[in-house]
Amino acid sequence: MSLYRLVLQSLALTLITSLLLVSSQPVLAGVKGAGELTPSGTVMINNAAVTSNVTLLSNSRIATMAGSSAVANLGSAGQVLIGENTDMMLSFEQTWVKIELYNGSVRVQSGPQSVATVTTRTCGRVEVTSGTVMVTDISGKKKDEVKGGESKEFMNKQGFASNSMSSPTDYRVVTNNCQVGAAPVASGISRRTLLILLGAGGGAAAAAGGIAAGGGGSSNTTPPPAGGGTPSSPNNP
Amino acid sequence: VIVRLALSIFLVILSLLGCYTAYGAGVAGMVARYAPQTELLEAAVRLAPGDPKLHYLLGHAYLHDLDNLDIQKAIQSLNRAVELSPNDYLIWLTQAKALERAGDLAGAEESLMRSISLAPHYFEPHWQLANFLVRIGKVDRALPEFRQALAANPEQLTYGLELVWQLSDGDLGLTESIVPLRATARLDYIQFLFSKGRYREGIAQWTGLPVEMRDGASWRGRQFIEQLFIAREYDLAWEIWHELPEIRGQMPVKGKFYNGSFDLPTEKFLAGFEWQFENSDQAKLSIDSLAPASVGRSLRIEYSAEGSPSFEHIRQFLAVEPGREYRLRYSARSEGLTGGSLPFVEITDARGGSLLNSRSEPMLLGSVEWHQYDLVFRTGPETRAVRLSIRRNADCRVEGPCPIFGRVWFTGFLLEVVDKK
Repeated sequence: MSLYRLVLQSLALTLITSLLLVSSQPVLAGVKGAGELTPSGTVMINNAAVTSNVTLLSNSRIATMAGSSAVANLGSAGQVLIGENTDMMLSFEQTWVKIELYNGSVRVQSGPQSVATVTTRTCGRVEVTSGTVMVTDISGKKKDEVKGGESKEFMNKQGFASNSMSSPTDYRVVTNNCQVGAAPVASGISRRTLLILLGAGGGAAAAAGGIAAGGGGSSNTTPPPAGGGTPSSPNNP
Repeated sequence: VIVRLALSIFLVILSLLGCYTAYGAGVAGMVARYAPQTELLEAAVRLAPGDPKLHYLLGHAYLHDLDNLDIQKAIQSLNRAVELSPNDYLIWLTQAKALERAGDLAGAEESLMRSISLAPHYFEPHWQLANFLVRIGKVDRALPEFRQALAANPEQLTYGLELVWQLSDGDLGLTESIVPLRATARLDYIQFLFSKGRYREGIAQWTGLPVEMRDGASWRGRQFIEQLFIAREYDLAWEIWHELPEIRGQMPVKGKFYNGSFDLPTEKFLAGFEWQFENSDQAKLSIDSLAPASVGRSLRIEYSAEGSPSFEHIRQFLAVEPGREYRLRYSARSEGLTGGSLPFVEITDARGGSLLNSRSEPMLLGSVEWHQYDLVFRTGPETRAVRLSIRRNADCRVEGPCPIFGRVWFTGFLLEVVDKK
């Protein structure tokens, strides 16, 4: 009996000691929503410029300048491609992504078990690559469905909310000036044409020009050049 | 003949092989340089399968091209790139990213460590490891990595501080632990503290800097003073201002006028406790040698103002104590001063803007020789600084325009405590 009591007492003492030790340590918040952002060009997170891959916490305001973009990898929640001249608020957890798009364009790929919502405060366009997106105007009265391969304009000046209805869903939201009609999608030399050019030989330079003009919907995040990666001196600026 | 023929055939084959290899490498190189798109890179890799750069770029594309995301293919490409070029730290870094996304955290960490071993003084490997450790919840281990990365390149300091600040719930000790020793980084840290409203801690950092470092960054000091003025933290602003190299030699005293007799050169629009001027065509300000016997120089205001203009000609902030009685002394004279509304001296609480003196107009109408004026006022319980201004209001108390003409001089500004503590 006394042995049992002794064991109990030592357990309690250990518990108290460990609690005391833990409470005396500096408090580091758990990393609940942590993703990764890969910037290309001038990208700001919460008004701080980022030039290299960084950890992205939920509730971050992200802004890209002209000619700049970023890809946010949010783990199981999905991925977000942030276009140039974009200003947005990004919140996320493992099963959801919420974007408040003040201006610009985002492409969201929700994860297999996550829901993505993009709200705007102005007119805009929703382009769905795959899956189905439900678009509701800000009053919540008008609802519209945009399916894979479709693109629709929403002209309510107060904005709209778009929700992914399927998992995974891949769609893009672009804000535009309510006074002006939506700009046509930029045309350029298609990738197929580029491949044909390459196959024919000597077409690489033309291909490069074509890509620069066309762009398409994929990330333009360019990697740092490998090959120069064998260091010989410190990387001080 | 047979030998010659065989040799010729051999040479032709060799040339063809050379051409093919050169073509492949050339096209692959151009793709890598100008068009690093996934499909093109796949084609380029087929043309030059021994090029590590192409495998690296393809792996990178599989990680970032939203139309062609494929983590497994990314890992394959990056594994091949690493095999072909094992001493390239960038390839290891990208491989780490792919492994992390595939959920192989141990493998990712190993690749990051390998990258660091290849480039121990570079920013990127330490930065990526620090961020990786944050994402997997090992923040304690991330802090020294952040510090090492930022020591190599402090460009990302602000974001690093923001990240650690959020993760540590605003713990100053942990946040400061990533700040490298170099001067610009310390100054950026002060700016960060100010942005979080931690002015007192920012000032402690500033005063903790070596004097040479502060003197070399006096323009940053002025920026901090400006921000402290906006935040109405006058006591703290004074801490920076009175130690600025251009001020220190004058030995300014808190609660006293600085350059009250206009002996020192004056500059416009400097944030601090100096005179601040607002010149205009209708009221030209200048420093004049005319002054009473015991005083050096004076401020001259020359009015040529039709219509109904209002002016705040000049102002100075003075750090004072709350709940005390002060006496302001100054001298003034005029020449041919005419107008329904004359210039006056006003003292307001810098924080709230409430008037502390009776704003009485001096008897300056016409031409008046040097005369000394006294104004007694009491600071409020929250007053930390007062703002002395020489103003002219467009308030003639009659309908129509309210012009002013003539000249007026001010000098000999003194402030003293009247009551005893």
